[in-house]
Formats: sequence, C-alpha cells, structure tokens
Amino acid sequence: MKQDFLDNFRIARNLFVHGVQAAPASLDPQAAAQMTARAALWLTPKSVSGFNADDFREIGLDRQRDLQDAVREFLDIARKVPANEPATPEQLGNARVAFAKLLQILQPYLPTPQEGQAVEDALNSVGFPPWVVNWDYELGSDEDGGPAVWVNLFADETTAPRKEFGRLASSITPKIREALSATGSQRWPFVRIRTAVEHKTA
Amino acid sequence: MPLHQELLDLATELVNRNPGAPVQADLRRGVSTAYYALFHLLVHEGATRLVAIAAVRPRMARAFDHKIMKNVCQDYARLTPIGGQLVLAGQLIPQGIQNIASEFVALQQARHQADYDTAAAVTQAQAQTDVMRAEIAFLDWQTVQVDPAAEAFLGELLFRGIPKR
Repeated sequence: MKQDFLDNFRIARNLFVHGVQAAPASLDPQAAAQMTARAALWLTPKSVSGFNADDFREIGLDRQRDLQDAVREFLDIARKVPANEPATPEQLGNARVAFAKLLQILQPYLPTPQEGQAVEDALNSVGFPPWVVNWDYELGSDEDGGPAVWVNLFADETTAPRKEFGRLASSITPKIREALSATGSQRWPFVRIRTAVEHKTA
Repeated sequence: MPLHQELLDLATELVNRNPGAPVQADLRRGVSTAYYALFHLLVHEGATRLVAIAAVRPRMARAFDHKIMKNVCQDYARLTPIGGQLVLAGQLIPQGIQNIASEFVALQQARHQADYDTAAAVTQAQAQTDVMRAEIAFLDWQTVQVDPAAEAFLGELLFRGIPKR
C-alpha cells in the first residue's frame, strides 16, 4: 500500500540523512568510511517495502518510470547486503546514487521542518477573515498518498452563523491553494472548520 | 427523485440530527453520503449526456473511477485565471465547474476520513460544513450544466481512465 511504502521510506530518509552526518570530521578517512557504512541502516529492502509504481500515477509517466528504475536499482544492491554486515564502499556508493534519485522524486511526499515553516508562512499570508478566530495545520498525505496539508480553521459562531460554514470553506480553499502555490508548494489543502467551542470541549 | 438528490437530502438529515449531542455514526455517514451525492450527480449527468442508449447507461456509470475523477478535478481546481478567465485546452471554464471540482476533491477526502479514520472524531460543525459544500456544488451544477465546458468536464471524468495507446 502506498502509505506503508511512504512510511517505510520516510524512516529510511531520516536514517540516510543522519547516517551521512554521523562521521565526525576528526576521524581518519578509513574509520569514517567504516562508521558511515555501519550507519547505513537505510540500505535494506525494507526501505522501499510496499512500493508499487501504479500508486504514483499523479507524477506522470516519465517520473513514474524514473521512480520505478530507482527503486529497482536500490533493491538490486540492498538485497546483496547482509543484514549483519556493513555494505562495501562500492555498494554504498551505488546505493547512495539510487537513493538520492528516490529522494528527489519523492520529496513532495516527505515533509521536512523547513517545508513546514514554508507552509506556515504561506498560510500566514492568506489573511484569514474575522470569523476565523484561530487556525492550525498539519502536513501529511491524502488517501492516495499525495502531499497534503490539513488546515483547521476555528470559527467563532457569533461572527459567522454555522449555516454559512460551507460557503466560507468553499471560498477560502482556493485562496489557501493559491498561497501555497505561490511558495512552490504542491500540497493540496484540505480545510476543516470547527467551532471554538467544539475544540475546547472535545 | 433522482438518487443523488435523495442522498443529499439524507446527508443533510443525518448531520442535523441530535443538535447539541450528535452521534458519530450519523456524522460519519452524513459526510460519506454527501460525497456520494456529488459523485452520483456527476455520474448520472455523465451517463445521461454522454451515452445515447438509455439501456447502456447503468453499465457505463460503473466505469467512473473515484481516483481518476479526483485527478481530473484536481486539474480543474488548480486552474488559475488568465486575463480574468479560466481556460483549459483552449476552452473557457466557468467558475462553477472549478468550484464543483474543488468540492469533489475535498469531499472525497472527507469521506475517506469519515469512513476509515476512527482515531479522529468528526465534529458536527465539520460534518455540516461538508454537507453544505455538497449542496453548493449541486447549486453550481445548475448554473453551469448547459455550458459546453460542462460536457467536456463530464467526458474527462470518464474518459481519462481509458488508457492511451
């Protein structure tokens, strides 16, 4: 399932990034290489477990094919690395290339703190109307694994009657989409309206 | 009364039951039903307008695919005005069609959460909002249904699922 794959890959991405940072500069090159190889826990078939190219139709045929090729290249190497031994320098080097390709293609599906900040800045620029007393957001994937952001708007029922919520949600969604798009974000906004009272009493 | 209208009426009834003490099952079924109301409105219109032989329409209606419809709707919802007008493949797109497309994507996701994500409670305000969004999409459809772009939209909802050879 797509979400399972993305969960596995998200962990692998973190292990990949932290592993690269693991070796201190003071270490001699050979020891540093050994340390990096030991830290390469991302180099396992589990990192791409659940992958199905058909789950990524939204990225277009060319990117879908690139993604499938990168997964295949990665798996070819990962399957040869024993679980109880570090990868050889050659395996590590080739796997890094394939993994970097995966990262580049899958980046929209994997939020980083920097992206979270960019989304927050975009939402700040929307200029919510007075009926929105506060707001919150959450990055994630939609039901198909597409990059998404849930925007929770807390409404003041004394300012906006509840029977207007549908119209308000409809009109504000494109504005949020435009603000995100202006920052280059491909995340799809899903607006949820709750009353302030519902939030406090939930 | 057509099925999509019955579904919309049912959704409205479900989310407005027990004001002040709403029941999760009502709210979740209400959200889910609101999505299916809009889904069946588009399927009904597509089948009726794209297929001349009435006996074939029910079979053709089964060819509409939720995920493909969502992808099409995302493309329409992403359109930005050029010179104050929405244009897709050389055709002017009325604002109402973009609104319907946007609501379809929102409601499909809401349905998924209402039906499967039991960890997060659905609030009555949220459920009522979702049903109202379906009602707005129904109203938008009334204003755009005679536009040639409406037929193209329905066609795209159905035909994008046919593989290109």
